[in-house]
Amino acid sequence: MRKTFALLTDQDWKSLLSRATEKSYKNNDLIIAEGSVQSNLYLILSGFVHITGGKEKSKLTLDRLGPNEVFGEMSFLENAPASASVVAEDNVIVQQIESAHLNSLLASDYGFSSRFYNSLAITLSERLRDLQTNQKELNINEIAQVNRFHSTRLGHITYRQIPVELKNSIHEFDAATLELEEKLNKGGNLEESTTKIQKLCDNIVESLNHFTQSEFLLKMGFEDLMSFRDTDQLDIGIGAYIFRETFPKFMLSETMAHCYMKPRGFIDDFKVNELIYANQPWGDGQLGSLIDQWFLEGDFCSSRREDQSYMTDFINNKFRNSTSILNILSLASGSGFELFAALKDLEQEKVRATLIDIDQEALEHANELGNKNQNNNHTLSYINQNIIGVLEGRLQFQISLQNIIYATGFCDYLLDDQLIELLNWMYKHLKIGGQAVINVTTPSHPDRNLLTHILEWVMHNRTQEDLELLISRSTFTKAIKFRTNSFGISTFAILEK
Amino acid sequence: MYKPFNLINDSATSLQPDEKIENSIVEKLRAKLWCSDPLADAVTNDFALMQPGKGSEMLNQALNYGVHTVSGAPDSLLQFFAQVDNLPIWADYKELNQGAMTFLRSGGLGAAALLCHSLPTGYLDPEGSRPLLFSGRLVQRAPRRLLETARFVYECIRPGGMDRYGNGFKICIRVRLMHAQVRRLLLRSGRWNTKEWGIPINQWHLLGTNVLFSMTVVDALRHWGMFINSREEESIYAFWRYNGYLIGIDTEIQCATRTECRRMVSLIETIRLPATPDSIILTKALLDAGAIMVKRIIGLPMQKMTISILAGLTRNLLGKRRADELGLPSNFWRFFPLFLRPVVFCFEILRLIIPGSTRFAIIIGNRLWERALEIGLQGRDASFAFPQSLQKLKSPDTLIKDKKNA
Repeated sequence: MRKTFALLTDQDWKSLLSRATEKSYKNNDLIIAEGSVQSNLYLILSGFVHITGGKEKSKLTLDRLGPNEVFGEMSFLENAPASASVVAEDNVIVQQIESAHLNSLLASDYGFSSRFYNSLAITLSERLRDLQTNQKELNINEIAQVNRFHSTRLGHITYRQIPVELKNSIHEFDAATLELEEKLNKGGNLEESTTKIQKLCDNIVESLNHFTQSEFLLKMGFEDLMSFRDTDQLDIGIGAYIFRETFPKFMLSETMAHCYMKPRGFIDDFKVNELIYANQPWGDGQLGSLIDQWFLEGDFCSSRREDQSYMTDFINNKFRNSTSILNILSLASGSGFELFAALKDLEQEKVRATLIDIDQEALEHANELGNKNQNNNHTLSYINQNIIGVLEGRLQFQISLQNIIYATGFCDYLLDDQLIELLNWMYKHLKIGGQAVINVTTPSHPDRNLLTHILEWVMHNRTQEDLELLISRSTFTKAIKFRTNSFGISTFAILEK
Repeated sequence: MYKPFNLINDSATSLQPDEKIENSIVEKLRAKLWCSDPLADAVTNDFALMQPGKGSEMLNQALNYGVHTVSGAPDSLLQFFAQVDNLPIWADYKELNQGAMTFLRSGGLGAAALLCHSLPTGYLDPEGSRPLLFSGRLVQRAPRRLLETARFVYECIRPGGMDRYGNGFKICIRVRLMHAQVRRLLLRSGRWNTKEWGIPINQWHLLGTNVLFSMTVVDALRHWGMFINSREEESIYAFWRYNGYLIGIDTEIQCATRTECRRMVSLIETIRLPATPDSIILTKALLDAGAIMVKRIIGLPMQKMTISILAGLTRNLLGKRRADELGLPSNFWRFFPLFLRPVVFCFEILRLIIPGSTRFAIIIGNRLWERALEIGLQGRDASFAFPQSLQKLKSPDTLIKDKKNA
């Protein structure tokens, strides 16, 4: 926590507060409105406030201040309208120092004046430094996801090394999809075409899985030792071959194209999840829609939808009929679809939800979703922050103790040490009895090769045993419950402080 | 856990260890199970980062015209060739040549000794043949392996083979890099248990194979009645020692004399684990492949009988216990050496009496090897064929059909 006006002496504080007015604010009360003309200085005595700013309809939380911290100093200094809004969290008591009183103090006491401006300069300098650090951390290079950008996958394998069976399978796919497309254009039977395209796409995934098995890759390596390729290179080579050959067809699907293109610059963005959760097949032409349908109905997407429902139910069950204010924090939240789905059903309960994500657009989208279901019982904060930077101690981040902290789909992009840090961080920020929820994707899921090789969607997959081991190395030491979804793809761990 | 150096099982072998094997040697060699060939490994690692074919291209250039002619050669390749281009102080081309000629004049007997003694002895050690199990298609690959081995040996022993630009020299280097690539493949596949099994194709197994190609062949040839005097024998060891040097065996453990080879064979026999079902499959596939080659080369139509003869010869050389381990049938042909020995003996007497006949025997031997490989490789060029080329070879049946059509 920043200590504002650290250079002021006790006597200075006495003089400063001698004419201050104590004011109380309730939860969600607006203390300062952005753009309002005011030049008073505020010292927080108890409680927390958050500073919000940004676009008109999608305000993000810029900072959070607590006891002994001061706000309003920028307006005082510049005598300009407030640059951001200050909103109370819970019951907040502040000392309001009138600008007239402060100005008279500054004019009459040169020692005070010197210490005041010196302190202010330090505070503002610290803020600038924090801002620069945050800006750097919000750079696309700093996000957790691995293999974010398309990399060249050439030179791992020669055409001669491609197994004949695989070539045949690809040719069959090409010819059959072409034939199917023509039939569809001529008004062919949609139901029949759906079955056929699903079979063809399944065959491709089956081929991909078969020819990238380690046993097969080893044999392939032995067949041509003088090409000096190891199994990883052969795996990439086979995947790249299938990718190149099937690209024109798979990219007809809206979801698959989005997954591959990564318009936000990284994989698994909020838009991908929105498309998966919406489950409304779309694409270029009828063939595109059919391929999209195949992908959306696949195990991986279905598993994602089930996970979303599970998380929604989890929040609902924990918060339902609760009378006190409940804090929930979503890390790497994206647009927090599961949270808003849960809040819809928690109309009477008082929930203070915080969403943290590196993607500002995702938070703006979340803000829009939050505004749609506006409920005075709910307080929503959107923080544009890189949680990896927080975990690794590069960024300071204040938050009150939470009832629930969860991160779904986030651990798949963390290294082991980062995951342990995440767990430790969650533990530190939970109330006693509070619960944390994380999940991992199993390495043996059937769509793994499709994601890796065709969509360039790479994860650090983990089994339940791997997760248990990592949890045992964290402050939690063990989970109270593990839950694997019905597809056997995703495993949730529920942890309690 | 696998304990390759279990000396408790001393009595389990029919071969009597020369002396009680000192623990210090055992410990020294134990460490070699986890030793690879750093120079070759570095080259394969660098080649793997290049475009497909680039590494092979550089290698060919270095082999054919010297590494100094390779533009942009990585340091690893320069260091690798600095080692192989350096003739060790103990290596004498005259002696190497004599060793090669001795081997060459054995002709078909030399090939049979490799087939019936060296290779099956190697298969007895399941750890030595473990990398083969990962390559898949143990049985289908047997003819290919036999052909590669025959080619390797012939190119090494033919006149000038081990000269710097000789084919034998080049093949040794290629084989060495292929070994390094096998190591790379297996270690990176995540399926190789280094802690339990050592490094794939480690120094210990390389040395074992080297000794099997020298001393066990000499033993088999003498057993079948060939005269090999001590000077010739020494030259054979010198030849294989240099071969081992090129193939990447640590000079510290290479065998230079019969005593050293004997001690090594005793060690191998003493410490190896019992043969596994895979050893039996490998041996059977080897003898089948041998019979196919015999059929192709000398046109002997009775393939089953040829297999029986080869099995009998192998049993005779290995001894009952080891032959039983490999599942070799106990047939009449195990007594075949009783007939073979006097015949070979007579020829050898004549060779020693008639002036110029040793030279003649070498020419005949050379011709036999050449002819065998010509048929085996179906007219391909003399450079060492890479595995992918061998894959494209026609099957024996296709060849017969083609000949008929012609």
